[in-house]
Amino acid sequence: MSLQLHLKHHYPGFTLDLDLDWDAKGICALFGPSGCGKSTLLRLIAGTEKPAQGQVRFHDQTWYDSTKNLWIPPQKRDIGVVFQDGRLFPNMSVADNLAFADAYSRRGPDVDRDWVIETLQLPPLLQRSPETLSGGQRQRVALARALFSRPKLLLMDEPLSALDHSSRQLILELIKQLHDLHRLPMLYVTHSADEVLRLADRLICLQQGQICADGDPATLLSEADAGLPGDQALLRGTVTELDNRFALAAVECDAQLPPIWVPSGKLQQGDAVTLSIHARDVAIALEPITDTSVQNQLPIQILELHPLDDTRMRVKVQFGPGTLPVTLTRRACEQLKLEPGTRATALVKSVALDY
Amino acid sequence: MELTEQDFAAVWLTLKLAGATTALLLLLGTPLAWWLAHTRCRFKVTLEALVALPLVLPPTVLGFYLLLAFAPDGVLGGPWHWLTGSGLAFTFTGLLIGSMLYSLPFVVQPLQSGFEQLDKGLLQAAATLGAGRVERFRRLVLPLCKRSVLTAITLGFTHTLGEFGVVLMIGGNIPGSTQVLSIVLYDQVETLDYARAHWLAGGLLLFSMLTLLLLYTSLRRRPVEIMH
Repeated sequence: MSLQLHLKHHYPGFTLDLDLDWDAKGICALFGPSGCGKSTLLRLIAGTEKPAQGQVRFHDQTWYDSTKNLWIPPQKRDIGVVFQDGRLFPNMSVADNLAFADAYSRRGPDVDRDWVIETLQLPPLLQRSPETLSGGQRQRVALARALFSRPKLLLMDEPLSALDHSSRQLILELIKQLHDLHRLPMLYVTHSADEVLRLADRLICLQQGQICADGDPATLLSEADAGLPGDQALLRGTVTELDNRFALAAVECDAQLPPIWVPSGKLQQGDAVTLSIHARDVAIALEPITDTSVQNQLPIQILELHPLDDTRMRVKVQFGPGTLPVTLTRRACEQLKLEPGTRATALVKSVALDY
Repeated sequence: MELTEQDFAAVWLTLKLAGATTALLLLLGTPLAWWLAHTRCRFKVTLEALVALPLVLPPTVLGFYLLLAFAPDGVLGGPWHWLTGSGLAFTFTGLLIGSMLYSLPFVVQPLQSGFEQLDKGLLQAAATLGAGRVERFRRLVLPLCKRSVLTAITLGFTHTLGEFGVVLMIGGNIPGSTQVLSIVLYDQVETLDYARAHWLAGGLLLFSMLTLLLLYTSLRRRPVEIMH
């Protein structure tokens, strides 16, 4: 099986133009900042929107070919889609939403319906109306509904972006389990590097409607200039110490560097974690500070400064072998006289760290 | 004072006319409303104005043009005569066509606004689950636009009940064939038979009020309780 795309599509002020060949095995993440075209691409594959030009082929079927004027509507493509907002039918109960998918199911791999319902913890929700569900519950139902329609390819459009941290962690785990069991190829749109690392075995980065990087997620995300959305950095490390009294964990990224304290959650000693640090959550001081609530003070060196707009400056700093993006006001940069080469301290709040 | 056989015939004819008009308008008005709700055609506005015309036009004007069209050599009467061998003016079929035009906006406009407010994302989701056009319409569009459909049915029906001017122009006054309630009522008042007129007028008033009351009761939204 494979998915082959050759697409051109236009909106006012936006052009999507890409070629993609995916063996349709495992989970492929489409990653990029908002407006990069990743959701548009998903809609073009699903068939809920018609491309301006090109071809879409899946396995031995052609879903779209502008040269032959061929167009297969979404209901005849063997796909399942999990939308960002769930899109459960409000005029039906949860059970009827699932039965709807069952009624029109395709020819994809069979799913064990009872197992899906149990695993996604749906039994207490079955008789409820979708309007009474929380965001996390809604997305679990949406996932089950997509699986019940027995797709050959599952498309997910930022399914977790509207959820809180704990629902997100739970559903991520469930998606992984479902994939391991059913071997259903998944195309997963996200702007979260964390979700990419947890799920994907191939990463495609989009920027302004074009593919800017394509390859192994861990490798790509560790490269500083992979063309990734520049507002977060990922640091890989190991849990070396637990502070059980305050539920914090020390993550060591490099033996030469001080560990970074993060909320411990369910982390155990020795666990490998990937921390994502957002540029707006980092502050810079010229000297280490003693009287501060900030739990992490990291030695850094300024590499580059780029103005983002009239107010803000993007500062790239060296931390150990890697780099971090930092967003500061232009006034702060001037007051501290920051310039390439300046040695300073990065202040990172533990509660702002995600993994 | 009892209602006469003529009165009952008029009531029955009126109900038959209103029922048939509503049913046919639903059948033809639904695709039209769907098209109007989704088209980007540049004639959309013109068509919308045309649909709304009976709202503002004096029924006698509509009746006058229909009378011309129904003439044996008219644009509708001619082909109809050729097809069936009979005329359109002063027949039930003629009345039905007139009523459909007269009540068209009352059916099409609620449907169109219902279709326009429908969340298209839900229909896309249904398509990605494998449901075709017909299934999507039956299982999502109709239930989700239930309020609009109910409104269209009620307004179409009650509006046709009260029809007078168009009927007067094209239907004439043939008992059992084209003599509807409002015409009988008019005759009774003309002959100063107020007692019978009271029965019909009061009955129509009560019926219309009850129907609208029923509609608005069923349209009342119940608040949804959010549980987590």
